[in-house]
Amino acid sequence: MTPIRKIQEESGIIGREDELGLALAVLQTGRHLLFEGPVGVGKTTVALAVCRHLGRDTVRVDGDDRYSESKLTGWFDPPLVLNKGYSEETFFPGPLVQAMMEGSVLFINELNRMPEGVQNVLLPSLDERLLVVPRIGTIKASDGFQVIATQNPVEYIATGHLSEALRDRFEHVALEYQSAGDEVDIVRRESVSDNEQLMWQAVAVARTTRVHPSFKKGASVRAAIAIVTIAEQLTGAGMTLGEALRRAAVAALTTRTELRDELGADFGSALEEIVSGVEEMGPEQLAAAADGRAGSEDDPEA
Amino acid sequence: MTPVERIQDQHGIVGRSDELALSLAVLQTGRHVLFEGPVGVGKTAVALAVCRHLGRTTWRVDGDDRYSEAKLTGWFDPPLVLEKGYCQDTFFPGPLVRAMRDGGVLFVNELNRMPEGVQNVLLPALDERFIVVPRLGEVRAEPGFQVIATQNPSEYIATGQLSEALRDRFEHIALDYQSADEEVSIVAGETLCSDELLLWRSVAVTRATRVHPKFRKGASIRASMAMVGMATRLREEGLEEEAALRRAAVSALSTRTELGDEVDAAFGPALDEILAAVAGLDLEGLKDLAIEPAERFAPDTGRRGRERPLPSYLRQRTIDVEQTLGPCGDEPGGEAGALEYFSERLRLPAEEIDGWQIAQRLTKPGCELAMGGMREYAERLAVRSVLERAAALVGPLRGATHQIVEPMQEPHQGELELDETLENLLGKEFPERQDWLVEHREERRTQIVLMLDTSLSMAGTNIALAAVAAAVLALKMKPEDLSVVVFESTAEAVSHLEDADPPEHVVTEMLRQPCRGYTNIEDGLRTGLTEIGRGRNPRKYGLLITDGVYTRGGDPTALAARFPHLFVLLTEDYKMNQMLCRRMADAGRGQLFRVRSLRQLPRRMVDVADRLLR
Repeated sequence: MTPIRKIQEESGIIGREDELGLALAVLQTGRHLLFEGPVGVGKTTVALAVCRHLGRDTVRVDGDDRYSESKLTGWFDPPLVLNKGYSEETFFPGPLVQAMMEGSVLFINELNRMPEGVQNVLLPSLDERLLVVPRIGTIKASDGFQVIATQNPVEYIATGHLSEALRDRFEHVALEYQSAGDEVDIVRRESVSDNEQLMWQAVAVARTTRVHPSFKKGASVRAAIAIVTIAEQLTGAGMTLGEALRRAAVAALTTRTELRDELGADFGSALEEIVSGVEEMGPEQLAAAADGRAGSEDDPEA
Repeated sequence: MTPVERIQDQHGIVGRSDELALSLAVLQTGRHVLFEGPVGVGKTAVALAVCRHLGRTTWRVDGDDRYSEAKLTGWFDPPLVLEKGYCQDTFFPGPLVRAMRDGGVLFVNELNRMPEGVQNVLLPALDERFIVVPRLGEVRAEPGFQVIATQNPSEYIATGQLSEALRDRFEHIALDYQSADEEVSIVAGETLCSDELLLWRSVAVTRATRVHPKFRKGASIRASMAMVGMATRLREEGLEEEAALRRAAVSALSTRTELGDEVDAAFGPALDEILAAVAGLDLEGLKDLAIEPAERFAPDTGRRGRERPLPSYLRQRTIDVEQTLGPCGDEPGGEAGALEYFSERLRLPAEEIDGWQIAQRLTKPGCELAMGGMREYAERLAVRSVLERAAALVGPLRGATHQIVEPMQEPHQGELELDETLENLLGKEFPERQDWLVEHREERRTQIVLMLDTSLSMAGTNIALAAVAAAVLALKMKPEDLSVVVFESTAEAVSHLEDADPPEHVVTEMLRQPCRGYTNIEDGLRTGLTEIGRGRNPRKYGLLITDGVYTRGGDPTALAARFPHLFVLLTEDYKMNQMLCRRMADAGRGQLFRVRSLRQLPRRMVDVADRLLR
């Protein structure tokens, strides 16, 4: 079994052969890795799968405003400091120092959401494998210390972009939306549904929002999963499939999509157009539609 | 009895069958729900009823902009930490950690009002069902943990938006105002009033405020309940029917409604119009009015967002333009006239005319939109397009924060600041509370006076781009913290510090500038200084956008020196005066930024704003 096949099996990853291959290559050469991709594309899943495959301990940090520098590097235990003063004995390593000392993988989810000052703490550990902790001295990273990070690249132009200096220290693996077949497989696994027709319909609807002219931003595969599980629950409660599909689609897509700002754009009718189009199709047509329409991922934003 | 009927019966919910069925379906599949709807529409009631029906423990959190991460996840008690260190004993779990440990439901009211940093704490909890608490470790969610959140779509300006990542993790259930019949049954149930006529009157009056053109914001059903209660009491005291209703209506509606921007808008007369229509109607007439108040009060205004809420509330991310600008072009012909005008001008079919094209032409000399309503309509499209461009650049609101250290007042206020606390406690036998110092992040306020050229050379596309740049600032800041000064031969402030003019006001005013005359930087700075004088915040900056060439007035350097800090954004072109810009920035103890062309100004403004606001 190839390593990639193994990762797919271990962590239940569907597809992504190229990206996994690239990620493994980067990590095996001891470099740091940054996964970038739109919301809901599976960055965290892929990153964690790669960490697991390497078989090294992983220290995880989720990027948000809570992380101050000391929480990332480490802190002194107050009662011990009272007794013994500041020393290595009274120092408790934070995730960064812990990963450096153990030579394990530091996994930083949503790196760009950390305050910038805290991001900068990473710089010396990334390239010189060194970190200066006040009152303790310089900490040297053990072999095997690596950083895997994820971030959401294009969400907004302004907020949370990594500094150039930081970007320069990561190798970059882009994750895009997967093929329709892969997405159906993901939906099948997550929703534990056996209604093939419904799953293809949900995937076709979600994928169509990514390319439909009325939508500025389309939905991720999470929307398709949501549509299938909610629709099944609703049909279980006695609703017809068509009605359930519509209700579930509205609930799942309203927050996950954005309309273009043209005059007269209307979420309800745009969605109805998509859903009724998808409903009329047979299985082969559905597969073709789901595949064909999602060709252009990039939004040519003026 | 179906589950939905049982919920309605046990929790006193009238109607809402569709929404309840959907909520049940979503919650039973273990997913997280976002309820969206106007104030008073019953979001909390529906959410809690479903939770109780499913037998789930709920932890409730009410979001506001001071809500902190520590309050949501939990905090370490500083005095205990000093004794025992960071451990389970010294950690006080917040509602998120409690709900996760108990497998309960975390109910977050008005999620979008929380600072973005706090919202982000929820992300891993939502899909991976675990969070890392720094210094404590992982907290895993027990089966059953779910998050139900609500948000209120009409408060776009005051509140932040949910980030895309967060929105991807919620299913959406929209709650709109209920039907007149349902509202009457709810009011009857709550007030125990059996006077049909009074019930329908109150409901009709309340529903009329939601569509009446003089009201920008109508009242929720709570107003009807209050009205019925008060009117009953007043009648018992001997007041006549009509007088009782009027008094009750005034008291119930004055705080619950907002008037529109029309010049003649006044609460009393607007309410009297509605009351007059209600008075004298028999029950049948009242019912008709209550069911379709728009037919009576607001014919042919199908465009307004309020009566027919946009199916996707989240369409306009940062501001609800329809709502804040209100209806315009009431006179027929406004819309068609404006489109025809631009279509002729631009030699394009009418359906291809968009707001951005209009924005670039409104200020051009000779752009005359004569017919009534035409200019308003065109302006509205233009302003909306400018704001949307700016909003796309800005993203969700994210205030600048800074770390501060202060004496502890409440244990969840921040984390122990060890060094300084130890210093205070050294040798003290009986420490006092203020000896413990805690550190936390706090929002940092900055006031900015933006000064912009609107002379002849800016007419057309340039002013539209400058308006986008101004809108970028306006969207990033609190309205009372931004003033915009425009200058040509003379200068004028189109919005003032401390005046809370909303972003659309700034943009509208900029697109109304005649764009003529010379460039008088000196007068621009002078007016800017007056504005600086109005600001009450200690951190105040001037920001001048210019190419440094002045054709009226004197050398502005001396005035630049009088700013607390003056930053200069140099728009480069073939005739720029770089030296002067540098001199002004130096004299103003500020910095010189550059932008290659006006086309890049909006994007550059995002960086400049981030630097100034940090």
